[in-house]
Amino acid sequence: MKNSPNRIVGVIFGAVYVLVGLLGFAVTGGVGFVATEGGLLLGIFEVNPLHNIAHLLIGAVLLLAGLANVRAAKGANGTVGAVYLLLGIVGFFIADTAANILALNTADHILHLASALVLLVVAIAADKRVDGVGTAHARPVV
Amino acid sequence: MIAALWPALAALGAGLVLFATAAGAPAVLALLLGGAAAAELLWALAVLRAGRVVAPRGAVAGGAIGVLGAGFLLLTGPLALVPFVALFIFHWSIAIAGVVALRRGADRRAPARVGVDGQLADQRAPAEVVAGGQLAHQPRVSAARIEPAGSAAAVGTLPRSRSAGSFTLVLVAEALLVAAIATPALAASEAGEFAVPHGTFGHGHAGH
Repeated sequence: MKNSPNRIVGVIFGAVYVLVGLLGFAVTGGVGFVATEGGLLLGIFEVNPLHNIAHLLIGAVLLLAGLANVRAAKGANGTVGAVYLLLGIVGFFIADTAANILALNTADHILHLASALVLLVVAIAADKRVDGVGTAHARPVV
Repeated sequence: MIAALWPALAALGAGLVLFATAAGAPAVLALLLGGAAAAELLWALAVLRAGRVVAPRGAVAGGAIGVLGAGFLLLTGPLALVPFVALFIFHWSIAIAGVVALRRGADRRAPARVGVDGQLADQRAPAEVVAGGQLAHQPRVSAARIEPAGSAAAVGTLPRSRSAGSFTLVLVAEALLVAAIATPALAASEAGEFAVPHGTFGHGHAGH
């Protein structure tokens, strides 16, 4: 696993997002499921219960794919990265509206955009040679 | 590849800011900015796929045009200060990456000018010859052994696992930096401020 940037990123980001999803429930007691004003995680990132569940699901996908093989990690990273890019762009357009069902704030947008860039770039640029069973073994790793 | 990450990420960031600026601009300007943004995104993808700075001369020219264009838009009104600063940083660093790639390309080409039989193939490698046209020393790298730019050998000979770890760390740090620069610029663009009036709750989809 340590030889593949896609698997490293998938496992680390997946674990972090699962952890963030779990921690989120500690600050969203009494917050509506899709409330536009949520609790502050780490005093910075605004979340609501739906946002927490999204973090848990995305984290689980990234983590499992990263633990599975390079091909799965690459696919999961690219897909989640594209979703996050969309969220990062659309997110600031819907701030302070009822469409903000994930209770996004500026810190969330920065994190989503950074996650999108990391996941998309690693999926496109790293592990370019993957064999049929999803093992990266070509010499140039990146 | 690691050296090519920043210009690619900067181009992605610049493309996003240009798209947001285009969304709030008059039609003709929007077309120009949208075209420039699309070109930057395509160039970034090409860089990521190739693993090196592609079309470095174009990157230098594009970066310079981006800096000057952002200054012009700031002075004439369509661009706010925060998006200008973001575009300035992104385009300036793209231009620098292009210059560095050109210099590295020139450095790599110099020993390659010497043919495998030891004859000087090009007069642009004066350090390789002494007076009288004789080789000062045998070329350390023959033309056949020159690695393509962006290959593992071109970026060093780190062990594979260390290379993957370095790549990941650099990628995360640079992506965070680009996001921290681009997000305030997106929010400060006209599209970000006025696309949906903040504080209104009449057209949402709460409950979905």
